[in-house]
Amino acid sequence: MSRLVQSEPVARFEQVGLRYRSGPEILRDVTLTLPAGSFHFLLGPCGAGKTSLLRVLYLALRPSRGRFSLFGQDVAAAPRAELVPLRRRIGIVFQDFRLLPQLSVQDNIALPLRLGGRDEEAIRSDVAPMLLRTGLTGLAHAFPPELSGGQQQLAAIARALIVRPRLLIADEPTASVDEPLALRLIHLFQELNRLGTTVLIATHNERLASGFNHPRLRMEAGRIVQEGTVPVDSPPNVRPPVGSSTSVQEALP
Amino acid sequence: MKPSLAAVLSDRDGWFVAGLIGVLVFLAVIAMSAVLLVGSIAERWQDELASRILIQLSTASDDAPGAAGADGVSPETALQVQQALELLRAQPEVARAERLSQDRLAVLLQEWVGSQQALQSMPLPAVIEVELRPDARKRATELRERLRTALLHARIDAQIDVRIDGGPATQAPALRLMQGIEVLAILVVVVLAATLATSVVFATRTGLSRHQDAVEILHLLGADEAGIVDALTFGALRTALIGGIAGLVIGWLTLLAFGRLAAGAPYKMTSHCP
Repeated sequence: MSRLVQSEPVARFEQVGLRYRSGPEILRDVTLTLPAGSFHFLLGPCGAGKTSLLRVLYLALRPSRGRFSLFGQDVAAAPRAELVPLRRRIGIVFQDFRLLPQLSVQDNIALPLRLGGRDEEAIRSDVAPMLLRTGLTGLAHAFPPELSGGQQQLAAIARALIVRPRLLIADEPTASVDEPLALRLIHLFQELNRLGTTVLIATHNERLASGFNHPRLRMEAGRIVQEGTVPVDSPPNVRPPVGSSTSVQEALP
Repeated sequence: MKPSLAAVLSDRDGWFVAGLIGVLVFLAVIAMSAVLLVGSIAERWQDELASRILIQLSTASDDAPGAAGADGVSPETALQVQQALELLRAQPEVARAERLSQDRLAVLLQEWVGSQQALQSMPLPAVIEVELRPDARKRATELRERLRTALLHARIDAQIDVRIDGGPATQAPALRLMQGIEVLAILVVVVLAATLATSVVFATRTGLSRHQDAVEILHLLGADEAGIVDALTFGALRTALIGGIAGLVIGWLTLLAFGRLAAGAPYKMTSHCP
């Protein structure tokens, strides 16, 4: 098993601050580097600024101050059009799933591919294994309002993984699922990580994070207060659960 | 089936907006047709009024009891009528000049006088209907004066009374009414157009705010701005087209139905006003 850790960092925050309009600073002097191929947990209590940091990272917000570069490009002042190709290299699992209710599960999963201009045949051949991998094959034609929270979470994760992103950002991806499924999801992210994707998972579930040998970033009051206690290339100490027979490599395009 | 970006951003309330546009376009079609119809009627009426002149001839002998002959006027008036007809027919601008029969005159006057009995008890003047040539219609007012002068000059009997009727001045109130209706209908069309534009703008803004979340997700998943704008524009255009075409077709069918109904109705513009 080889890990792909490249020299160029995927993301770099330097003294980044963020405030919403004239409100107080949500992020304060955040300095952080996410090396390519790394896997980090982002921990912290509610309101610590985890989601805001992720929103800057997945280019929903621009920092109010400081420097922020993604895939080697300074995006703090980049034109909007230049952000589009960068976004296509990111997989996002939103805390509230954010599936489009008017699209079926398979169309939601296929959406990033369609936005990227993939042809329909390729999309079909990519979506089917992903549905299988996430256990959603039987729900392919269902619509998000018909799904449970856990099923929506799985669909959201499948949508994030389908593009085989270079950076995967997951905001509380295990909040709506039970413990065994949570473990399966983390293993899914680990498999993706082994294929070279940089992963950042925000969670308040410290027990879950502590079961894996991945660096943990801790946030409090908008600051990173603890960074990287475990080496990036350490093997995980939790084995994949029995039953996850389809590998991510098989499921991904 | 592949959902397009426009389908992703389609509005569930699009049918309501399309219906609203359809109703407004339908009303605009009806109002616009009314404008054209009233304008056409007014123009035809004006044209017809300008093309026809009624000349009323009477002499003092008509008032004498028992003076009326078989044709309803005194022999003296009948002679004057004949001379007037000859004079009128000699004018290059006159296409036709005929004396209205007393029966026809009675029919025209009956609705004003009220009863046949009252008509029988009163002397009726001799009335000549003159139709001008098309190229002379623009000079109708001037021509009326010239005919009046010619008739008066031709008269030997100075007691003749010549009245020329049917000119624009006589029908001015009716024409003004028609023009007023036309202006009103144009105002209705303008108001409808403004309402339509406002409704579309309002509906589009509402749709945009409703789609804000979807647009943000699409952005974050890598959609380009132009694609999203195109999808939203296409959606709005499609809604407007569906509503507009539906309103147009229903309006057209309505007008067609009215046209069919009107085709059977007796309608003839006339200036035979007393």
